[in-house]
Amino acid sequence: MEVFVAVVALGGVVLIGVVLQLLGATQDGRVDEASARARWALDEPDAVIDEVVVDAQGRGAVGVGPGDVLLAWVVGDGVVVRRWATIAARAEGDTLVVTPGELTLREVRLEVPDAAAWADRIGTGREAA
Amino acid sequence: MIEDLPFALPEPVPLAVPMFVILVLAEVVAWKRGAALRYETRDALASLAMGIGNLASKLVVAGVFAAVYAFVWTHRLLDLGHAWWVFVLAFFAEDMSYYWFHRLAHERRWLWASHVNHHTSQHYNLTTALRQPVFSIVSLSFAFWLPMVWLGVHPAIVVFFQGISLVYQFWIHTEAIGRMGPLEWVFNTPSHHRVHHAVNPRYLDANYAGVLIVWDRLFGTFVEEVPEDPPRYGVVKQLGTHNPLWIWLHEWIAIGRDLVGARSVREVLGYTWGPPGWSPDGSRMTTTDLKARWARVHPEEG
Repeated sequence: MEVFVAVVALGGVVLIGVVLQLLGATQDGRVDEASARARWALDEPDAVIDEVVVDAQGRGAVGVGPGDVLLAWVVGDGVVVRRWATIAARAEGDTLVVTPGELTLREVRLEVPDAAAWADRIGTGREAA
Repeated sequence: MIEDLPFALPEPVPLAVPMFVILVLAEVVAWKRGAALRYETRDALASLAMGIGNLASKLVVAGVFAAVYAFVWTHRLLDLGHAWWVFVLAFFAEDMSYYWFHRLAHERRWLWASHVNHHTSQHYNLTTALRQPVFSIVSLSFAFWLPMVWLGVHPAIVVFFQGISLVYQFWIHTEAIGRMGPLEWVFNTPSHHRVHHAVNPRYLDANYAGVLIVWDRLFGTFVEEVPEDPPRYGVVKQLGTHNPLWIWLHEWIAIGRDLVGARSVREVLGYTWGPPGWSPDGSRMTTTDLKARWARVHPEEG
């Protein structure tokens, strides 16, 4: 019985995985400013966001407002939202590196214009200009 | 020592595995043909892997469960035997035991740490049903069914109805079925369980039922699905991974980190047995806080 169940379960997982892959179910989501703001309004409804910067590939967005830094980050076809007063961040060329430091979200990298200024702004809690 | 029943009861979950595979494939086909469903490969594979992990973990800890059930059975108050009415009674008792386990699994962080993984998908399809824990034994969730054994229901009957409940709950993890008329009054249905998996503030901490929704109606935790607020799925702080290991472990590790920093017995108790989101200074948000914040920002929905 155990062997039968193991074979069916493992075979089933492989079969379902192949079918999903073949049917195009492997999808990466994208965010733009409107979708990020819409998601923040749902997950952090009392946050006020003045300015938003979006990753060049649409992998994520960072918003800043008075006392708040918000992140919307694509994971698979879903979006993860985080909110901080300030958050560790640095610039590597055109890449803004935000470091939530969580087990499942250690670091996110956004390709944005003026990454150094954004790193400074969200890392010190400085409000948008 | 647990004496055998004079007849063998089937094991519902292993027997249902082929049906799980067939129905998931059917739902995938329905999704591809345009049904209002969502599938994503990595999400589905994480759920399926966690289903297999759950089955494997049960093999590993079966001896522990058997020993605990045997101890309680040895010291039982009554012996109800195995007449037909015992099975009827056991069905209802098991379903109510499940309700209270499930409710506390959302209200107490120690139990939530094991159960949270089931809620981590941002999708709601049949694979989500299989996103099951492997650390139930650490959370001691099996204790919720021990009163049944102590009161005289044979452990094999308890385990049988636990399996029936788990198999029943598989098919309700779908967006393919809308509402089911009068059945919605009595049974846990896809609509009721969508509410349970939703993170919309109005839906938080609701519909803990296994098979019968009557427990939620009776104990004040029932919430109806409303068309103007379609459920959004997952946990209030969505995870940034599809890795089953981290999905299983993340809340246990978070508890460990909190306990390292705890400065009093009150904090130790709060971090382990307080509601998820509890913190000594109130800097984190419980579901009560989240509902209150939503009501403050959206008074028109009150």
